[in-house]
Amino acid sequence: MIWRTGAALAFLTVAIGQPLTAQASVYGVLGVGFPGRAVSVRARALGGGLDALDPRSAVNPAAIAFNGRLTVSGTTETTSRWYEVSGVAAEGLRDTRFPVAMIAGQIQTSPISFGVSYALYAERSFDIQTTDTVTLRGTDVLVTDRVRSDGGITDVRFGLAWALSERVQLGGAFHLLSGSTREQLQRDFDSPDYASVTQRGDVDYSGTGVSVGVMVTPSRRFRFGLAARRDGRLDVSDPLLPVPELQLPWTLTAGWTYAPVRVVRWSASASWRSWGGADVDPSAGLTDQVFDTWEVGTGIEIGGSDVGASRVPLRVGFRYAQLPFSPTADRAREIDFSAGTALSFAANRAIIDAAIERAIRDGGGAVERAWQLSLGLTIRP
Amino acid sequence: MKAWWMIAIVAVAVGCQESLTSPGACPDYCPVARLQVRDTVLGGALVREEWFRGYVQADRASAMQVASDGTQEQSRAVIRFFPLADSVTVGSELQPITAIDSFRLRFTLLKGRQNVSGLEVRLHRLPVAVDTSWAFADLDPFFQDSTLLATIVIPDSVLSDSLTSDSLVTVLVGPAFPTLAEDGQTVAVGLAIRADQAAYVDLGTRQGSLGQSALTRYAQTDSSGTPVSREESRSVDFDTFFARPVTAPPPDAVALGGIPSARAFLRLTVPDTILLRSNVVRATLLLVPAEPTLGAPGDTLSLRAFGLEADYGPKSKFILPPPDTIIRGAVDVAIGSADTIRIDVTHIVRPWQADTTRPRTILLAVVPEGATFGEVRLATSRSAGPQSAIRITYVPLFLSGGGTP
Repeated sequence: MIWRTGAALAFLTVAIGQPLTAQASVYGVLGVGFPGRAVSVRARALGGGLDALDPRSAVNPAAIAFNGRLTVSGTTETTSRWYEVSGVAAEGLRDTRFPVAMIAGQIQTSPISFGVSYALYAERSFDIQTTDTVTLRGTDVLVTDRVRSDGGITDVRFGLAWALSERVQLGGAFHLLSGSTREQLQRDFDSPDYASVTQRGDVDYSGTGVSVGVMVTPSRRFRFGLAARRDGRLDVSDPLLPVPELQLPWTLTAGWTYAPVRVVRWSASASWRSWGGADVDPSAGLTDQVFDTWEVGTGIEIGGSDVGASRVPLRVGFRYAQLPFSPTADRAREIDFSAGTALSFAANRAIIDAAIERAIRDGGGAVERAWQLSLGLTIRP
Repeated sequence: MKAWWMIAIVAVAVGCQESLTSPGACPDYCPVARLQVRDTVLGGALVREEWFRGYVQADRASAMQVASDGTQEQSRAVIRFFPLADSVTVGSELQPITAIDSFRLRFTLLKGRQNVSGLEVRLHRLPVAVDTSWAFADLDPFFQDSTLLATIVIPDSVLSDSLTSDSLVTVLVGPAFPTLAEDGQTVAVGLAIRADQAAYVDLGTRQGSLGQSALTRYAQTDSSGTPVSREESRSVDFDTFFARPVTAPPPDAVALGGIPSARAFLRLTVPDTILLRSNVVRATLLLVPAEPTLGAPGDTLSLRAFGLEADYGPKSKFILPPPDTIIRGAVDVAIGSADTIRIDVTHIVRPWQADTTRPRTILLAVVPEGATFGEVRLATSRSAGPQSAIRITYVPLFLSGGGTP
């Protein structure tokens, strides 16, 4: 029964969720897109506080060592949001995407574990409609433009972790940045004299990166992790993004988790990204402002089957993140309030995680609010 | 049960319908890239022009044009009806006709020049031997007062510049055709018009769909000493119109229209940067007349452009445009006008982008063909003065995947 349930959930998560990618935010139009979060549903529910330590997130390669046996996980995320920019408001926007998937496990009885994951590095999905008036043959003609982009930059991580001891784990990973977007430009003329135009194109991205990490557990109730990541230059063949190459940032992440009592765990993480050194040539036409970013998050988890307290843990979190791109000198930022829970089956061989987040984004002349529902399925055969 | 409850949550979550399209807040929250529209006039695009005459003869046209008598632009219509019978049926027996009471002639008026005073159609008796071998001048002896059968006054209210259908009816006395018996019971008539100003009318023909002429004879016979009336109708056996010859086009011009109808073939070169690397959103031929448009005063000629499936000269097969573009590929040209003629050819040029093997040739014709002696004469690339051109509005390809013409 459990396995049939798991199979059904896997089908729903993968088969239905996977083909759909969509705009995560109005800020996704800027720069290379809206930054993705390579974190699990559990980490989301904890406000990102667990980012540097979570074995089901693709942030710290040393955390791979905590996947004691083969683990397959995937997440799906549905967003409902509205935004307002310069008096232009849009509401009722809904989309579903498939942000993270991972397979990880220990290599036989060795102290080495592997992990292969897929995550959205940046999302460039949007569908924008504008109207304008152009002068054609001496006559003003109303035109409606529609710009669609579907896809983004994906981060495929191949990582290894080495458990030096029960207290220290090291990890390293190679990141392959790839992905593509299908773009469409359409123009309709409000005049029967002019025929409509639709142009389509596929855009590919390519780049590489490496990351290293360490996790240390000095005491039974305290653990901390550090991770550093360096991404190379991203080759872009995107006419909608007039920069052929972009230097991607350094990412430094640190975090800890502390359990004052057995059933309560407090976690916190912080990340810094050197987007400001993206080395964008302004003459190329990318007029966005680019900033280094900080991201901090914290969360509390109460209970959970892994501590033997209950099958249904309670998670709450808070997260603050700066966004790297803004059309103005005003830096955009995001505040998330999150909560979540999980259900485990068959002695933790199948886990369903759920998280709900309220995202509040401001800055750069835009205001955006979103509800995000994330569901994750983890199977440990 | 809990498991299925969770399945339901997952299904709802991932199965939500997407709603993405949102208004752009430009320029801050719009992609930098925008489609750019460009417009250019390609003056040397027409590289080789030809014209050929003889596609539709006047006696095969869907209308006959009759233009004012006494002017340079003059034409006359000729109609011959199928022979009438020399006897009528009374009961089950054929009886010879003893007397002809009258003839009733009906013609279909398609269009004509409005606001003309004193417009009348003059009906003449013609020899039944008239046929296509005759010329305009051959008719002169038969368009005299001595052959005049009737005059039909046309009120202005029945005239329109656009195609319509109205009947002109006249009744002639029995002896109107004194040689009816010698002519094998055949009637032939000629029509000319006269007005206070130059004018024209278009009449329906047997080839057209808007109504042809008809002849009805009202006759009497004797049935055992009792006079019996009978009527008999005949449709058209032959109809055509003859126009006063016009001067030949200049040697460096192309002609279209006239009788027999002429078509022009314009071959164009359009740069690959436009044809292969853009989306054409509008294309307009700018045709420069070599001389003012010839034709009946007050008339307009409907000029239409067609694309070709293959270009093998005068017998090239043209492509009928889709119904929604028929009107767009046509333009009305006023007689006497020497203004540049602008005709939309977007529906012709855009397929050139999708199929590069299509001949980049545009066929021009006056429609309906053969129904008017009006003629358009265009300057060509060989002409010394201003030349025809094509104006193209296009959007360069922005995305490498290409566009959809």
